[in-house]
Amino acid sequence: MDSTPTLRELFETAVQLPGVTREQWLARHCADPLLRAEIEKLLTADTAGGELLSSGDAANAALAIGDASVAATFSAGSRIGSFELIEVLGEGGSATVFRAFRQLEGVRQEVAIKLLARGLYTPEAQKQFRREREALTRLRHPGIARLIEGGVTDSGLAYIVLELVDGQPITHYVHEHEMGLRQRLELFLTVCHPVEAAHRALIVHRDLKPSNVLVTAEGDVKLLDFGIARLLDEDAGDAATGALRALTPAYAAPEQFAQTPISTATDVYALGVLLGELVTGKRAAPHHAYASSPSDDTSGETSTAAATHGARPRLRGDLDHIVLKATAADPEHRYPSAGALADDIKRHLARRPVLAHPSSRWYRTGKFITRYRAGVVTTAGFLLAVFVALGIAIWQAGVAREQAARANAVRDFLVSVFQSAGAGLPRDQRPTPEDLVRQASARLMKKGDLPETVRADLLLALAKVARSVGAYDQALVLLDHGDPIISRLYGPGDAPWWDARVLRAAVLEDEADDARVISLLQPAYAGLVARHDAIGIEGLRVLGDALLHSGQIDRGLSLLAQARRTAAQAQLVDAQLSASIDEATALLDAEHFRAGLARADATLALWQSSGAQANARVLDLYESIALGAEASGDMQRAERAYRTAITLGDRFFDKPNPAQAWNVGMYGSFLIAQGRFAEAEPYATRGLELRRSVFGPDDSRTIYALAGMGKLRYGQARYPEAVDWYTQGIDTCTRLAMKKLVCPRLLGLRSLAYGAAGQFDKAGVDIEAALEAQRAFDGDHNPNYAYVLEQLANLQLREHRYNEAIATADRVLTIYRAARGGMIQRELGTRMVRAQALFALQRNDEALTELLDIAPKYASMFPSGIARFDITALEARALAQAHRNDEAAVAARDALAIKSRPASADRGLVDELTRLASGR
Amino acid sequence: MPGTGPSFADGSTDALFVTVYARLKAMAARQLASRRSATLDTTELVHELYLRMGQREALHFEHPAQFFSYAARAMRHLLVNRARDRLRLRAGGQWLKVTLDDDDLRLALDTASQALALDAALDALEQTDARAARVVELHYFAGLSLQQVGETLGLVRRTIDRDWRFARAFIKARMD
Repeated sequence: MDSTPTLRELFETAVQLPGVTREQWLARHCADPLLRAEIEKLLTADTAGGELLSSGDAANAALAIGDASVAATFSAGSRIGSFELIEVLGEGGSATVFRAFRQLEGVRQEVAIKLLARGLYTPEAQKQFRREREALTRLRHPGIARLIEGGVTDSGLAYIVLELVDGQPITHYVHEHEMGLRQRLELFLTVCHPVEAAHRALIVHRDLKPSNVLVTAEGDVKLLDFGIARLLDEDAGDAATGALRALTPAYAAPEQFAQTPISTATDVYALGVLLGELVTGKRAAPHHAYASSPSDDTSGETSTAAATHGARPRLRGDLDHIVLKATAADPEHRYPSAGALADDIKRHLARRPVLAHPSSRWYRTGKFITRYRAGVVTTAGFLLAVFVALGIAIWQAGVAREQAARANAVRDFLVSVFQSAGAGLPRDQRPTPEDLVRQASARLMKKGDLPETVRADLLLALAKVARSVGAYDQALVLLDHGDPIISRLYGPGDAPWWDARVLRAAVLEDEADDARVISLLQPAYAGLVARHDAIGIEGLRVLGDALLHSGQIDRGLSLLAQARRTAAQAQLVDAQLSASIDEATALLDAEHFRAGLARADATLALWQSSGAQANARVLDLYESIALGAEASGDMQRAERAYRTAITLGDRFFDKPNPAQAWNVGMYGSFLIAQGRFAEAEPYATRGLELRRSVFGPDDSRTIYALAGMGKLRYGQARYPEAVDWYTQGIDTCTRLAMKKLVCPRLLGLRSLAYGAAGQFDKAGVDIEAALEAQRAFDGDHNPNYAYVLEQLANLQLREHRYNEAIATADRVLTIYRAARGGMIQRELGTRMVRAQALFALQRNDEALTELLDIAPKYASMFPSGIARFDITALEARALAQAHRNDEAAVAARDALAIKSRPASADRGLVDELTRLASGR
Repeated sequence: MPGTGPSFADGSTDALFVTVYARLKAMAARQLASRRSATLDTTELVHELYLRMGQREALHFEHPAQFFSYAARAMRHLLVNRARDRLRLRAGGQWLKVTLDDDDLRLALDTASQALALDAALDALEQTDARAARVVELHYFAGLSLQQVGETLGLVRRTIDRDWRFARAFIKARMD
């Protein structure tokens, strides 16, 4: 060996050797006496047995150490320094905070004292603490709670004494005072100023968040804990391990997670998150949540903090960009200081261009044309769509000689349309894309002097545009006009002939006319396969979709896979993405969750590596991921996907749009299912509005939204309102003699609402009707039927028909378990019903076995799910029944600590838990 | 390399995940049984850690290694914090009444000192042999068997055994 052997190499060789040989070997290979001594120690340690810690593994060690809370053993009247403690204000991992006072020259001074968790046992540590404390003591700003003094007790405990601030977190304050956007921004500016002042003194806060940004009754902002994070953090100099200890995830900058230096930019990040929260009323999910979200700007950061609701649309763009810039993943891309952030907000308030916008030239143009928004933006969007469509049409013609002339003719025609579109009109009279398509079509029909080839190009191009804006009827009219011309000019050997046919099929598929799509494309299958171009692939995809939607799952899937593979071979990324998205969606719809999610991941990766812009198809993909992840129990992933889809949707669509209508409603249902009712309310409401306007009142998707509203009210224990919503849906089902899954479900849901309101007669009628309707649908041994059965089990439970409830639950579980693994959430819910019935029947052991298994699974999937309270509360009661009092007390305390309690949690139960929690 | 090559059979990852999660929660929560007040909502803490992990590693289900490393790291912090709290109480003197009886108290204090020593030794090991330190975290803190550690890190059992043997000797030598 040339290089010096490492400690490990020496150890591993030596440990293999018998005693005497080992001595000799070490003498030869390890001359350094210190290293030799270390090796000897290692070899001795190796022979000694036992665990790393005498009390066993980590869990046992934690148990042996026990919970040592300062607050728990604190007694009023104790003293720290010259201060007498009054009460505990709070306790966290790194410090305990007391309210304390002293008499100073006859005046009672009340302060907050932070007793640090870290001991300062060495002189160096104490010196370091003193140095930093002095720097903080010098930090004087009216917006910063002052550090009065600090010290180390005789026993080595460090403490700091801080100005006591009586205020409320800024987020509560703006909410309570119902501040408008402008007021919020002005208040936020007064947060930036002290941060800027501290930064000039080279002090970084490191833990800015609403609970550290208080507003007093007088309306003054006071920042707490400036620079304290560093004092609290033992490893302040060592970002590698220190970062984990004192930060608040939602407000922490990426560099605080990573092992990179903390700087003033770290505070700028937290300010950005806070700003986003103030203007939208919601905290933006941190960057890391969107590792897979599209990047649509130059600096490469992901789109996260996009303001969703609450901020007025007129202001949304700028603020969005300001928040994005402040929270850029790379500190270099953020504002250089809190002052610079404040300046940009001032610019925004003065309606001047802000610095934050990623592409400033376009942005300034955009700012200029904002006044003409409706007109200019839609026209620009329309132009873009036309050029995309034309690009394809002309490229497909493939006749080089003719191409330039035709392109010019087409362009001249379109320019004439736009000139007549009325750029001088006031904005509310400007044409929409649909208007433009209609005008262009009308003009084209009237115009007699166009060569037929150009006319065919234009008809196809406009039909594509019409389809892209959802004007399906118009697209079909244009194709009807085009067909005779195309038949005259072209045959099955030419691209336009295929293009027209595939486009027609695609429009029919958009209109869910599967049968006509199949009859149009099925005979052309061989021709489509032979083409190996974008048109052929699109044809395969559309045919695949139509087959899937008409129930021919396997054949549909195989066509989509074929389309995807052909596109990959031909290196047509867009076509590959499109087919891949459909395939992922189809797999998930067919409940092949694992395969579907894997395909979705592959698609996202492809999309990201292709550098393509996000588009409506990507929304579909996120929607599928959300559904698949939700069904297979990965709730965090589902939630990220929903939120990404909605954020993207808000960006793409000026008007109510089917994808957005669907996603917003689905996310609402997702939140309702977890009992996050307050969060769900705006989504459920907006989802219903969107669906009514996009799909109309009689569409099954709108009826699902009605069901969502009903569930929301049911969850809030507002049963009569729930019944009203369900009834609205049921009436539509009846009126239209609708054969949709939602109809039996609505009956089942209404029966639950009646049951909850004690109207068991009506509940019984409904549930019978629901089961009957569902059975008529597709039999009585599938998850859809089980879903209605589950409602029956719930109803039986409520009627105290426990044995029947258990039997019903067992039936449900048999069906869910036979399904392909997508029923985790429902399964847990049903087992909870079972456990409740068992408990009521005093079959306590069985109930407990069920509960001890359900509880951790549910908690891991739904950290903030509503059933956590029910489950944990029942767990506590069952443990108490089994005389496992200590565990019952823990469970009871856990239950009481859960914030999202169902509205129906009654006082008696809470009392019982409180009694159990006290250990009696 | 860490973070690559998860080789769990499909179902076992979920089961293992649930076990580790429950363990993490137990460590954070169980001791509250004999105490008057909870110092923090432990479930919340665990979730916070879990969510933090989830936000950083968007693909946590695809890469169980990342979750387990994170869980192990979280458990290590929980143990160290608890140990510090315990020792701090002792240092706090007369105004903080300790309610454990003598034997329990001695065990608690001993274990707390050991835990801090272990933490320091593990830091040192990280400098010398980062992978061996990972093995300790996954095995001792996350409670994975050496076999499971191997699967998580995508390494053969023999390598893991060697890592563990060296790590154990290294740490025990420093804890004396």
